[in-house]
Amino acid sequence: MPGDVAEWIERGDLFRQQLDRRKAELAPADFEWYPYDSMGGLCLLDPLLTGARRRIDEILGAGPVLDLCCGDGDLSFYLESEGCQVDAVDWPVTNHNFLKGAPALRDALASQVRVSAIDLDSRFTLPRDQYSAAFFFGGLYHLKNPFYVLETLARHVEHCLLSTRIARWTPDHSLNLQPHPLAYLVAADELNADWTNYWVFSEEGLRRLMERAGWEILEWTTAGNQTDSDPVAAEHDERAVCLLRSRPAPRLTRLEGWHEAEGSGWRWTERRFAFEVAGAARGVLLDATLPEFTYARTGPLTLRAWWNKAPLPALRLERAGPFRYAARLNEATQDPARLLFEVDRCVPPDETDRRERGLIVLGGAVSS
Amino acid sequence: MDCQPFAERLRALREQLGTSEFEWYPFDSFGSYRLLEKLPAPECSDIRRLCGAGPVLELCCADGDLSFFLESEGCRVHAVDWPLTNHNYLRGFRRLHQALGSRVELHELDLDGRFELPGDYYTLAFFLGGLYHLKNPFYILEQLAERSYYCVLSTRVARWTPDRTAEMRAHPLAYLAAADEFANDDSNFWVFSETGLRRLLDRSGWKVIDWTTFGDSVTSDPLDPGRDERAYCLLRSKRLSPDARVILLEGWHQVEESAWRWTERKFAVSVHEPGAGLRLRGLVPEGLAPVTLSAAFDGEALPALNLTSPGEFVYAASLPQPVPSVMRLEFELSAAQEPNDRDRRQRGIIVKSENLQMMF
Repeated sequence: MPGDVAEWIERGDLFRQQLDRRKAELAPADFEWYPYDSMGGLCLLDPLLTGARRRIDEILGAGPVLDLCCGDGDLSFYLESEGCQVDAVDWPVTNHNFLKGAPALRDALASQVRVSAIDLDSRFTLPRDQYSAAFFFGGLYHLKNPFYVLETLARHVEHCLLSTRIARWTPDHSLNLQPHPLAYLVAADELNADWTNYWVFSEEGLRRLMERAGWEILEWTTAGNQTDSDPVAAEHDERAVCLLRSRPAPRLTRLEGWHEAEGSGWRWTERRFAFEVAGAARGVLLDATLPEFTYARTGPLTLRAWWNKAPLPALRLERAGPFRYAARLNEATQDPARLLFEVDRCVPPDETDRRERGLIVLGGAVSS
Repeated sequence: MDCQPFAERLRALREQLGTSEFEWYPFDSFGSYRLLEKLPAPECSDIRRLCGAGPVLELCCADGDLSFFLESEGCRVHAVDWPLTNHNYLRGFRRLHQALGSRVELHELDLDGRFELPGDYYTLAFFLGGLYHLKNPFYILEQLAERSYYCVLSTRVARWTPDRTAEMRAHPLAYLAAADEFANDDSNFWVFSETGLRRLLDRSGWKVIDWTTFGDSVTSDPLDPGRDERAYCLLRSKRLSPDARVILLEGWHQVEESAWRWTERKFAVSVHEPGAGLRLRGLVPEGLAPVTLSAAFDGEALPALNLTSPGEFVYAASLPQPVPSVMRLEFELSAAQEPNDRDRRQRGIIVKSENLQMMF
């Protein structure tokens, strides 16, 4: 794979020409190929990427790579031809040919690209857990819930190349949106008479959305009408193009005070048990049980917690049974941070079990 | 339903319970409810009727005051909140729940995560002061429109941007707050203009029955506590029949943008407390007529209707009396459009949600 993005784009253009010829040969009788140039957006990467970031191979990383809103999969097949392992995602209901094109091309090219039908406006699961990079061109304004999609991507993708329509003005050009973090919600028939269009952001709105959804903006440029763009008119179409890097999601790692996993993964704790928390955590949830076994010996308990030595709210456990401990976390002064729990009483080691036993923990999670 | 006596009872109960472990939710949970009865729409004058047979849903329930009040009035209630965003991690709710011996169902749901509303259907949902705490307002409103016939919603709206250089009100806009911008509370996200909120409601499947705003109705903005304006509205789902007794069963496709649905060749509804008859208004698409629509009620055939040309039609039938409290109505067309390249669904007729009604 060539290092500089300009060369990579050039090779992409040659690949597209070959692909167009292959599509013409295949000439499917039962559907129409996606009629637009779905690799046309690649040329926007040349003005976008600067300095060391022009090395596209470093952005794409070791793979796999995700192609969202893939159309007929042209970009996916190009990425594969350049040595990437690729997952292509689109949704038949909004895909031009009900997602028949991409599988047909995959078969014709004897490709290994995995084509998945996923509704990005549902609470979806990506085909794999981790991607080194994602392409998300021209899809964001077709989503009802862009925050959810961007947050989900940020948890699973390291770099994202994204383009979407933005607007400097309202359609009547009476209000300048650009300096404000705003989103314009188009009516069902307002943009290309296409009801699948939803949110068009101002530049400031899109930047804030990225930041709040867990992304750092590494590169940013715009193309198209850069003076009086609006959300709906064809001649006032402006696109933002950006390279994003996800901020690491907070992670929990068990430290001291835990016994071996049992059954479906639950664990006995000792009286004190702790986690290490890496990344920017803003809340913690602990799902646990005060077992009848413990309660019969200890009676009601108090569960206390500390976040880097600062106390969190305590929880009084008046009876045996399952409970959930929840607490909001202030910004940690160190990373990783330490989350310590303690119950005021526990079952000491005895003849039947030489372990100190406090609670049974079913699971813990931190949120960003 | 006058909430004042119950509010007094809860106040006394809180004093009696006391607590050193957590702080009760400090705001008046009945404030928004009291406004409901001041809305002019006829539906608002009789909340009990809107609640119907229930269940009723309360989202972002805080300490559950409204849920417990609705229960005291005879409603079956599902209360929803998420401990990480609840003022006292839901300890207040649990304490009151226990003290009242309540049977309100509490469901801990992260409305910005993967969640499933606990009930199949609700007659009424209360969603007061929660929308601007969500990252994905479209999603929750769509979910609610699929499950709840009515919704009482209040949320912050803004006429101006915070620097007061841009008047948002007339445009369908949403302001995205920064994490540290809104009273230093990072759980705040989208504040809509009035036009933006109305468009969001329309596109997510709701018809606005009544609407008012209170607070700063001149210079409101998304952030300043002194320029706080709230929209307060009663909504009716466009995706469900307004007749809360009719529940769609099999044979219905997803609702389309303007709140209509394709049926399959066979489709069915269940009806709670059916009346003397039913009326179904639909549309025969081009290419399907002539076609016959037949219906059966709990297996007993009703008169069939021959539809000889494309376009609108009305099917009406009397129901044999007496009828059971819950019955199943099945419809069947003699033909349907089969799946093809343009649409992989079997398609019968088109029905708008409001066009399936039971007659008393």
